[in-house]
Amino acid sequence: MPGMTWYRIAAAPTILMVLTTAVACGDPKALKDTSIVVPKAGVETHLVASKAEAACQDDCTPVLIIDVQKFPDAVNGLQIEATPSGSAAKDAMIHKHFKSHDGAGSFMVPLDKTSLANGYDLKIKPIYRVQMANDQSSTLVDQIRVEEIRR
Amino acid sequence: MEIKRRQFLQASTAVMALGLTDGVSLLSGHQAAKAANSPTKRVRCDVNASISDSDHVAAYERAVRLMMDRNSNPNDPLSWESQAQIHQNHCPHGNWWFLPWHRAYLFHFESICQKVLSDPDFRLPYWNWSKDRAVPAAFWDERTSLYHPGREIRPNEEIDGEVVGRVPINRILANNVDVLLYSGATRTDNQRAPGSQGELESTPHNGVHSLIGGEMGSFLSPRDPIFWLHHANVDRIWRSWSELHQHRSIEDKLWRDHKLTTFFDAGGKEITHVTASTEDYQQFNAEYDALETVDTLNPVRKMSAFALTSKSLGGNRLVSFSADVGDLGDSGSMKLAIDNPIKNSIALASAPLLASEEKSVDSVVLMKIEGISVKNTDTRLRVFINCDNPSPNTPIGSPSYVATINFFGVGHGQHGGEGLDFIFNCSSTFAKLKKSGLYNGSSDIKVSFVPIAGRNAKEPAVLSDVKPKRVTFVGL
Repeated sequence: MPGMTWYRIAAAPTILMVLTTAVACGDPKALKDTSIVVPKAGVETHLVASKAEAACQDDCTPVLIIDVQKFPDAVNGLQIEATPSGSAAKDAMIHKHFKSHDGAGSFMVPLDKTSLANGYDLKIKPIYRVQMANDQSSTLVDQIRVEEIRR
Repeated sequence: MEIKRRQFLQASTAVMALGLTDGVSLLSGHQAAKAANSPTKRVRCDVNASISDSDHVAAYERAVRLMMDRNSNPNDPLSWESQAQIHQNHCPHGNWWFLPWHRAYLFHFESICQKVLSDPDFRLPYWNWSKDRAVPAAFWDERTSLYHPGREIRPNEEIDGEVVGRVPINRILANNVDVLLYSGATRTDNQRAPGSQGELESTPHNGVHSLIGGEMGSFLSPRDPIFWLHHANVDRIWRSWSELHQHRSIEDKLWRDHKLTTFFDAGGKEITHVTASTEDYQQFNAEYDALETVDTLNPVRKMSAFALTSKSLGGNRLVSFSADVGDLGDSGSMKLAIDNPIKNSIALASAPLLASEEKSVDSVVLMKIEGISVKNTDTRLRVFINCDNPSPNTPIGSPSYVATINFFGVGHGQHGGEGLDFIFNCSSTFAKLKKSGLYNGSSDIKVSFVPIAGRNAKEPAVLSDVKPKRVTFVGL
């Protein structure tokens, strides 16, 4: 129906992603600013807002964007588990996002603006094809960032 | 140690939300059929529903066969292969034309089915994968046109509930941000411009494509006859969302005025549609025997079961076991000789999680970690139960893993010097420990604390910076 409002995606430069990562089943490794390698065992990251006021105002929603230009053939998608820092594991939001027909994927995970101000613990795990469960390919997440969806 | 229920509730309000976070549920089938469909009106029906007046699966099988017969003419736009090539060459994915384009694509495919069947009343069935998660049996019969070779999924294998089950579908329906439903906007009038995908596209839509596998995972997915029933259900979820959100749509002219290309009508004539026209769902036969909705009055997990447990244990008392954290040494671990009431609570809480069928949760075991005086806010603390050699490299996927405590934003000297308390539901940890043979239900347990350098993982982390004073298990 006409007359409704469309939300546009706008970059939110005041929100920073701090990736302080421990790779499961391996030595912790420092990560580049906005890309991340997801090994078979998955990866943990930590997401915080740089300033409390960086949180969205009333008319916007913070969204975690995860861009993968090319998934390995053995990997169907990613499981993204976001837990507000200090919360119980049961409070985690679990999203499973799958690659598109072209083998790429750009996924949006909505975040709670209050929780974002305190930080999120993120776990990102690959979803392997059943038939290729023994494959060890890592998945390169080309970009991981937070954007505000606002009116 | 006993904890009064009121005290406990005050201390752990967030945890008591357990079971209420799924406070919406999905009505299915005719119970949810609130769409304004008159009884005589032709609508798309659930492929697994019993249809009294005709066999819509048999009709669909016949239509597919007749269209496949036309493949011998590569220029026939009504052939099965030509329809697949439309998808290969024109389908938008990852942008805001994903839903309207596929609505029009379904409509014209359905029109061609009607033409080859000489049956204007034919409607595509849909596959309600939320309710029946295995590919319908008719699509595995090699004697029919509905069979398609190369699928990776097996007969009777169900699609993961985290992809098509109640939680993601409720989240999609309840979502109030348009872009998260429609997928991302584009800056140009190119319907194949890449963008970000909304959850309806990237989770159940992409998930079903990927998990079925074979050609269903590719741009030529319409070659598999299940494609059309899958997309009819995606369209049904869009219709359901529209009904729940006052038929909201997009006002941006770039979206509204875009010409969706390219389709062929039943006469073989090339057709385009202005995107905004797809909002008229009746014009595109997007009418279904049932729509999905959310029911805020019918929580999935009822809290009454918890009240009953508490009462049966004697008024407002909870079962608990507590121990001081002494000198942990280098291992960071402590043995706990938990008592029988807590062991019983663990058994009650883990049993439904280990059951093969979905069962209501009547009990929960919580772990309270108390009195952490944080000396270094960059340090994080991981907690494990019954882990042999816990270290920073122990995977978080370990069955022993309970939680990671993060002290971001915590200042020194908070909470009157008594330190911080954290509480976790560890029912699922005990269920995993039992399943993997790491806890037998009767022995003592070992709790381990592993400090992790938070902001620079290469720096050493010291347990004394975040060491708790006390650990309490609570059975509720």
